[in-house]
Amino acid sequence: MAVFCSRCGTQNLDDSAFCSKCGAPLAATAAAPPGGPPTPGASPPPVPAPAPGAPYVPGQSAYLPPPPGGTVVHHTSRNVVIAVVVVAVVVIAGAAVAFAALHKGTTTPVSHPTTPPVPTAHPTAQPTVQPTVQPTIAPTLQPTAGPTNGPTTGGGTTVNAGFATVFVPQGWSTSNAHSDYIELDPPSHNGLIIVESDPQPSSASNAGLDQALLKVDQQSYDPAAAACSGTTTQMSSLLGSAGTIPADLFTICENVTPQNGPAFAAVDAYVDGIARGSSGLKSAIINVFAPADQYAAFLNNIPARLFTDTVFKDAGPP
Amino acid sequence: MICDHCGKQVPEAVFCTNCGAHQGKSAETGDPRARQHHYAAAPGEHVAQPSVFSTLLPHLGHSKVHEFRWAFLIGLALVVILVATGLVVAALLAAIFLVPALYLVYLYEAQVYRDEPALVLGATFIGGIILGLAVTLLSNAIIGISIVQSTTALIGYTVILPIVQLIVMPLPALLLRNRAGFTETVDGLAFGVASGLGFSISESIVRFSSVFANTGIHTDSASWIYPLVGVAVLIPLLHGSTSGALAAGLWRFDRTGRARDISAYAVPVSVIATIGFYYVGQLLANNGVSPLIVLLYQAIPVALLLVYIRFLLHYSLLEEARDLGFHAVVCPNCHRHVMAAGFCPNCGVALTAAPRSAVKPKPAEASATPAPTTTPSEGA
Repeated sequence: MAVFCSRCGTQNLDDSAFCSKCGAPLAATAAAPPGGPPTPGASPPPVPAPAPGAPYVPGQSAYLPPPPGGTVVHHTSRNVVIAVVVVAVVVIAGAAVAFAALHKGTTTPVSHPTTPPVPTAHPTAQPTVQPTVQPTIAPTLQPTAGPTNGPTTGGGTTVNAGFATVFVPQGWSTSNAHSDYIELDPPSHNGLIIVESDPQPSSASNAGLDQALLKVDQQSYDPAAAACSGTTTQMSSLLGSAGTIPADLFTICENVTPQNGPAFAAVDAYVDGIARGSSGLKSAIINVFAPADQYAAFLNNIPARLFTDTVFKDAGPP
Repeated sequence: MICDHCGKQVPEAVFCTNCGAHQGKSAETGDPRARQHHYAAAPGEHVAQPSVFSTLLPHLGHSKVHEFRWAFLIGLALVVILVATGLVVAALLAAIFLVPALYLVYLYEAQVYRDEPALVLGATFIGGIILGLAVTLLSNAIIGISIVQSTTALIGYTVILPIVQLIVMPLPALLLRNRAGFTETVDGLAFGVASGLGFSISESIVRFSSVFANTGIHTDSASWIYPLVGVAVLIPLLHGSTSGALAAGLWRFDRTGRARDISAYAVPVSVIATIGFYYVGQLLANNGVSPLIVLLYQAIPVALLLVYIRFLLHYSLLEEARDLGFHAVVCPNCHRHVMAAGFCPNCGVALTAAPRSAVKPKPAEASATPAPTTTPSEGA
């Protein structure tokens, strides 16, 4: 006697345990249903089955034959998943390119300084006495735009930073003070000045110091950091307690992408030189750092005394 | 058979369908009830394995994980190609949207939102985007541009802001906490991750707005590769993981046992990992450490977060899946057609972490489910 599948109506051999077409178990259907085999496509008659959520009946197997037609496990194909992501990325990228193309020329370019701070009174002779009024870094600055003269007057205090006596203009604050490093923060917080001095090898030169500073910027902030386009390293000087220290004026343009907070283009201008102290060579550095679009304004508002009254201790020409 | 661990009458198989305990038929080591060698959402992995996809996308079956992994790698390759061809802005935008786009596909794929897609996506993704925009714009206005070594900016951006973000990010997800039908920890995790990813979109867009306004600030597009990896991989993972961990940890207060103990650490683990990521990462950068080393370092707190989430989810799944009744299902992980309750008897995956379409029998299917009468010869 043939056995008909209660699910799909397929006729199976009478000793079959499972339907040859859909795999449903045939034990519940011992013979052809009354009225002949079910019409394919018609609703199958109900079979005793555990309702979803029913408790386990002892004796039931945990394993079932493959479901008829297969239950949809792969709801979305692999290609669709990949295609959706790729299309999303391409559309976003395309939109960005189109936006950039449409707005090309209408955005304000980052104001890289074409003219870095330039000393106007480079000393031509080594002072034999402690300089008191002659600035080695002139207060007259020539930034990209704006006024050409920074404030030359104003109060402030001199801070003994260990390695230097540093003039701190009125309203400015100091932070991160160490035996060889100090930061000066302006009240506007639109820039930062760092004064520092470190021991240097006997072969140190100003050019070598420039490259070392550039390397630190490249490692810390921007691998593409480089001397600002249109600028060259210029002669400058710093004040040492044992005389004027010849220095370079080296301006680096870079982009800062901090771990958190906004990314921005920046200018990192160094007045740096190799000085000789009682224990050997050391660096003398005044570093002016500011976001590129605020650099000119920051530079013009640095009180001149910060340069003229800051003296590196135990330091003179190499 | 009677399960040795929960004492319930269950089908004879490798895993107890009621409590998920391993029945000791393989080389399982350790506590078979805790079964840490078989992560409840992906039994082929150890709980302590810091796998991104089976942790943050727990509803994916075994094969689906590979598909999403491939999609992610191809998207990442496109980002690299874009930056290599000098299209920095395009690469940046693609990087920002890569992981969130993938997660949207996952939410659809697994039907995590069930019958309320608008509510869930609106509360999580859109809510995260709006909050991210508000918090980031506000922090930029208050703290200003980070002048690299300024103590104020350093503490502001790497300690205070991340803590504020941790408070804000899971809020949209937690709005859904009391909705009927979203009572399981895995729901809280998925919604929290979605909220964190929405937050990361708007945060990254605001953070790099100066780049979008001016495409020429970098002289060498190759130098963008490190920030791009951070934006495409680490930031979304950090935000998704912390927001997901917090939402999952706070999702239920009726846990017991290890799940309750582990959930108590959601806040401190998230805070420590986030500050470790930002503060220590910035200190390393400020001291001239290579950006590659900084990125590798930052992967460590992210990996620790993932492991924490896996332990939380694992024990929560073991506890929460016990309430499910028996029904026939094609296991989304091992693809066997089985009679299962909370766990697949063959591979042990928790069915509360299975795609909705795979475990929710349609009415027609449920009524036609055949009564199993035979015992197959094969087991595990």
